[in-house]
Amino acid sequence: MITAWDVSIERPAWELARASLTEPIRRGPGIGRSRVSRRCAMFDELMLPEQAELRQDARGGSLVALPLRLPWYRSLPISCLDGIDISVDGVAVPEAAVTISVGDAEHAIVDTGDLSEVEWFVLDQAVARFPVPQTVAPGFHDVAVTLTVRIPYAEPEYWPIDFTQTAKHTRSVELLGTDS
Amino acid sequence: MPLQLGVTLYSFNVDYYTYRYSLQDCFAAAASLGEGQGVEIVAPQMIRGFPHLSSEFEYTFRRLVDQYGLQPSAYGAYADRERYRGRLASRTEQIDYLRVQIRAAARLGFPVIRTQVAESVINDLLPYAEKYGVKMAMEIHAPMTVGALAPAIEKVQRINSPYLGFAPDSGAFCHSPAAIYVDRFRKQGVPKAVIDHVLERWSDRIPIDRLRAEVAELGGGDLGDLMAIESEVYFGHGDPADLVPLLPHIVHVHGKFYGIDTTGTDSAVRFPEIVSVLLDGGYNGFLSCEYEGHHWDTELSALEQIRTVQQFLRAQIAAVAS
Repeated sequence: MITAWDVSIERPAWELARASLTEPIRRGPGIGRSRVSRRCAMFDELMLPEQAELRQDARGGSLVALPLRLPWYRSLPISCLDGIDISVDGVAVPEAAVTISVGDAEHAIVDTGDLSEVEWFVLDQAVARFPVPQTVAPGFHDVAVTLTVRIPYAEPEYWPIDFTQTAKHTRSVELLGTDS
Repeated sequence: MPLQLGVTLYSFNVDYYTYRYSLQDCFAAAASLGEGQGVEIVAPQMIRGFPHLSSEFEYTFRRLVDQYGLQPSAYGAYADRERYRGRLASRTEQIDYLRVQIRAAARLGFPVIRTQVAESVINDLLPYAEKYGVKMAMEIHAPMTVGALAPAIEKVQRINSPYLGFAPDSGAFCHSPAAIYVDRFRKQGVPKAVIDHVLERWSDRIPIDRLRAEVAELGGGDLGDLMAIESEVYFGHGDPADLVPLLPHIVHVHGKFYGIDTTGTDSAVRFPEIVSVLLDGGYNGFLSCEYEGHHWDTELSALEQIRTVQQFLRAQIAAVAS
């Protein structure tokens, strides 16, 4: 048996996770693109884009739609999405209020556990939607996202691994209102 | 027929993920390596709707293989036994999930599926592999070793079918951690004392938990911890000679490498020795080159790395053949 893997580890193993461990890229209106490291820029830009939508919901609240890429080299079913922590200007969004869509249907993270047929294709964006206080106006805001993805390799007889990929990204995101 | 050279399109992971390469660009890149090149795919990286195979992908794939004169070598299958949150898939669910992949591999013209070492593959899927004429190759990847897999190897030897065997990954047979990996952590500011310690203790083969504790004590921080973890998963301590008794059951090989220099030496992988074992043992399947330096440097050309490694591999194959 492979005893070395008997431990439960949280393992940020791929390029995207590593980018998150470097200096967070913060880009405000006054900071030009040239200040951003070329090496990390493409990955970070894909993982957490510099713009997202801010819309009014039916009850007059504010809702953000944030497109994200999967922090892994292959597609995974959304049943492997174990958590999504989002904060805007340092204020945490309750996870229960976040939905994820890879197509038209929106799913609360807690409801995705059996959705092994719903594929997050590796080249596609998924959209996270979440409410923000109405005081959040269009413009630049500090957004932090932590995606926790279960990599379903465990094969207890031969490879008893508890493998979780955690990708953390922080940047200034421009929330575009309906007039943008 | 001697050992055949190929490439896994996973080598172009960064190019593909960042949209620098389209699907067709990946095939064109593989074809540029030489006529009759073997082509391997990670199925859930390229096939939308995995594990199901759409007719669109089937026809696109077949057209690209014909257009570029490639040979399908291995379909990268996945057991994904933990795909449901909070439980392992049942035996029946595993059979259904994997037989769909075997059938997809057959429709795409692949002679082999690469899988993980899995109970369902060993115990339940042989009838489907035989029915569709697709061999199942369970991957031996670092930190797995031939020794640690003795229980699985014994079962495979007992079953003794040409449709069930192994796919060793050359990253499980390293002489040291890769230079590109060390450089990346150095550039990110990991202190020299931490880097030297990881490299020294890798050579000592100490358990990963102990290495992580020692790195933490040295003030390695998150990056030092990541460096310690990666030293175990990417750079195996296996001896190429361990493959000798396994030779009758090797149906596919991953030629993992991290950075080849102008003398043909990879900074980590014991390539010439591994290839010698395969050639001496009469292995006649594919050596599917798998460049993985992209994990630490996203700007280096994967294609040029593979072109270089194949020059040296061709020379070694020709030397044995003559």
